[in-house]
Amino acid sequence: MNSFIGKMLNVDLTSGKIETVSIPTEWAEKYTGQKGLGTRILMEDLDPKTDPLSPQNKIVMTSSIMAGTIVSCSAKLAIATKSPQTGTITDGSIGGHAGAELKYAGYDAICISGKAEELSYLYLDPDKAEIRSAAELKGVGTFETEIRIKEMAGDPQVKVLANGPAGENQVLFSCISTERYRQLGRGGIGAVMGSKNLKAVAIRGWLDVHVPDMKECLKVAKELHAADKIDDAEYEIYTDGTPILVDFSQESGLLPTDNFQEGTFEGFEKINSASMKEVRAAKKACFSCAIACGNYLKGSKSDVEGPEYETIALCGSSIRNDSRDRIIEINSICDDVGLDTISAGAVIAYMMEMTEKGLHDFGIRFGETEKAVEMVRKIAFKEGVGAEGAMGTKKLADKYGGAEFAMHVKGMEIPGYDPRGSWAMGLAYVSAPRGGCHMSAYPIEAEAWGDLDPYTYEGKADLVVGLQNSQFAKFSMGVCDFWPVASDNLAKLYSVTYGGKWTAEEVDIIGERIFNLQRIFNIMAGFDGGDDKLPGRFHQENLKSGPPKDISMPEEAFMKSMQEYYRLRGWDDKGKPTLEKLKALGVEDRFVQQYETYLATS
Amino acid sequence: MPLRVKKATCTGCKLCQLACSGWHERCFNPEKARINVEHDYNEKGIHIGIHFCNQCNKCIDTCPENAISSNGKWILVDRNLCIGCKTCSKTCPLDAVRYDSEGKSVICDLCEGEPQCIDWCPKEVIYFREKKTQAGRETT
Amino acid sequence: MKTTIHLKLYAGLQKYASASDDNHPIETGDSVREVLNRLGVPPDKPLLVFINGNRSKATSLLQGEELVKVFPPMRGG
Repeated sequence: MNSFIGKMLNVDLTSGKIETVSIPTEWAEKYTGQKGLGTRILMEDLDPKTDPLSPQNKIVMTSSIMAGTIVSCSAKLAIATKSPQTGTITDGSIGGHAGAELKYAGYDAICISGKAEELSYLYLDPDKAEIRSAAELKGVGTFETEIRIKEMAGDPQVKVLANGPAGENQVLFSCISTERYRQLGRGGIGAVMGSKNLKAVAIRGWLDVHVPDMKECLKVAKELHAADKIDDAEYEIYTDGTPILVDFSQESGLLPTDNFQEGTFEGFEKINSASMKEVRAAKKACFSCAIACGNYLKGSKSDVEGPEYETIALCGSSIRNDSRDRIIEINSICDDVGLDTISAGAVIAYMMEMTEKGLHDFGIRFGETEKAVEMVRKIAFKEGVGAEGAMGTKKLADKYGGAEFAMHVKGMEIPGYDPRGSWAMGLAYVSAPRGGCHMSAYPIEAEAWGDLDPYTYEGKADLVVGLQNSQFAKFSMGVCDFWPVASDNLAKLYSVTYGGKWTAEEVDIIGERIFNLQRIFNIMAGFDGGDDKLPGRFHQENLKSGPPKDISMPEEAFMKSMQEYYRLRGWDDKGKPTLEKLKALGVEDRFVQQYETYLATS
Repeated sequence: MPLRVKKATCTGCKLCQLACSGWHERCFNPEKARINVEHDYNEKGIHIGIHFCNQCNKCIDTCPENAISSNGKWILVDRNLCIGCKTCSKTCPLDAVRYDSEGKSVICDLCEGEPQCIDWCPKEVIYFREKKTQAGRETT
Repeated sequence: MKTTIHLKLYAGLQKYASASDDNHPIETGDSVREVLNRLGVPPDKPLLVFINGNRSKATSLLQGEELVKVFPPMRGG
């Protein structure tokens, strides 16, 4: 017995039919868990042209294969779906307990399709799975939703994934919460849940999770935790959490300021980690995590577990907000109503710039932080100008202009690292399958914060390809990003939990396979290399301060680098994977044929 | 010689529970661990609770089958005598009793001297308390 | 020649900081690495160095009066 159970709960919200099905071992072997398994399950019978907010779209929840075990940072759950914000495949990952609890309930995955007639929640434990009414929770925030679901389920130990009013209102960048302190769902996963009338998923488990050799598993896990020093009392992610990055970004001149007009922010010391620590009352870890990145802060008006660096950048410096209290307030509201803080901040920044430039009056300007707090609520409930904000920067720019400074890629707003300060981040943003995302690859560590020259594309395509392959494996097998585990050690951890004897090469091939599977989903959804581009601001304007001052990042050089990226990936010059590449990676014949048919008929 | 905890340092990772169930029950299941942690973020803030046997010995006195005893250093449950009646659990003031796959009680026995929870805790929350004797201090 | 720099240490390096960092004494021509070695920072620890707002290296030589900011390597995303 090993940590892969082999069972998926199939839920059709339209008919109410729920059944347990087997997951083929081959899927676990080729795609492992989390991101990879979620992608594979989604591809099984989801037409890539499906309307994301229709009942035909699916929500696939998949645990890390190692979730439930003692491997640190393994209690992760991925949720994959077709994004209503971008139209690409999107998958996010959440910590807390949910990933492990699903294993203790006896499942590796849940697949939800259809649409419930009334607002409902899904309850599951080892003995039963039911769709239950959540009508009384309409419009209720995620915090209260969790409390009430636990009461309704009659069990305080239930782990809840809660959708908020933003998701119910189908805001395109709405997300979900769990245990009040962890969120998931860039790309509008909340909206997909909302379109299905699904208010929450409640999971309760009490079964055992097994590994092939317990003694060996305990020994290897212990050794590798120590080897990577993840419980080190001086590990920055523990001592400070992600806010430590504010000083890194400010000094490197790439901290988004005034909607990416600048890369340094005058008020950065009011919102950096040293400032956050002044009001920190506790540290918090996810289940099984030796690191403990979470920071519980008590602001003067609100408290929050956070803010993450991304929130400080996009809801702080980028909207000219130097108030720690206001950032805490905005973060707390976003977590409760269910809004992705990166996209929310980016939309507000766009609205501010449009207003200041006189291109369209959204009634808010840079630095108007009280209005920013109100705007977040208005977006969640689509009230007044909030209904516009809820569309996201891409649709707003289509409607009102300002496309050069609508800071998104494929509709997903760009996170807290100005690529003019670390050029490979731009390659990462455009090649990430779900849009402007920093999770597929994080080359800034090697560039602006490492040894490589940040202001060249030389060697960067190769860097990004390598990082993406290993990240995709890591987020599938998988552990949290904050454990910087190399592929060979990831292979060892996988071997003692799932079984077998895996190598670093096999691990990276799994990552490459998953990456390509997501890419062909996107191609079949209608994308190609023409969509792999950055907003005009990055190529047309130079930063005026910090190390990247006056350095141009020309579009021509970027496009040349993307051609190199396609070549290294084994794709054609339009960014489409070749059939040979897919076959060489072991992608199943049926997907190769499906893709081949699509290319021939489009 | 019961365990002690620096509660405020606990981050709620529950690696102690995973180590306990892994070591004793040869599976990973926090429900079967002999130490139990709550670390919840609610409307009042962060609530931390850490439950484990502190050797008050009430279970020994109330077990109807005399299945529980102490060797002076830790609690012992005789699995051959235990009938799974759960009286010890109902008596325990700290909710420190759990059950194995046969429903028999499991109570912390300090891993017979080398607690796995202490070994695995990443933040050094759990430690041994020095035992005071009438003559003075005696380290355990 | 004796002179001073303004030294700022970040994150895990903060434990090596001293009260005199605002006017940290150095000899003209000291490298950043040498200054940090004297503070007890492990000699092989990778460093991210900015001098007067420009990206520099641990081997960069100091003249005096510079604003020197030093970060440890960033792990994790």
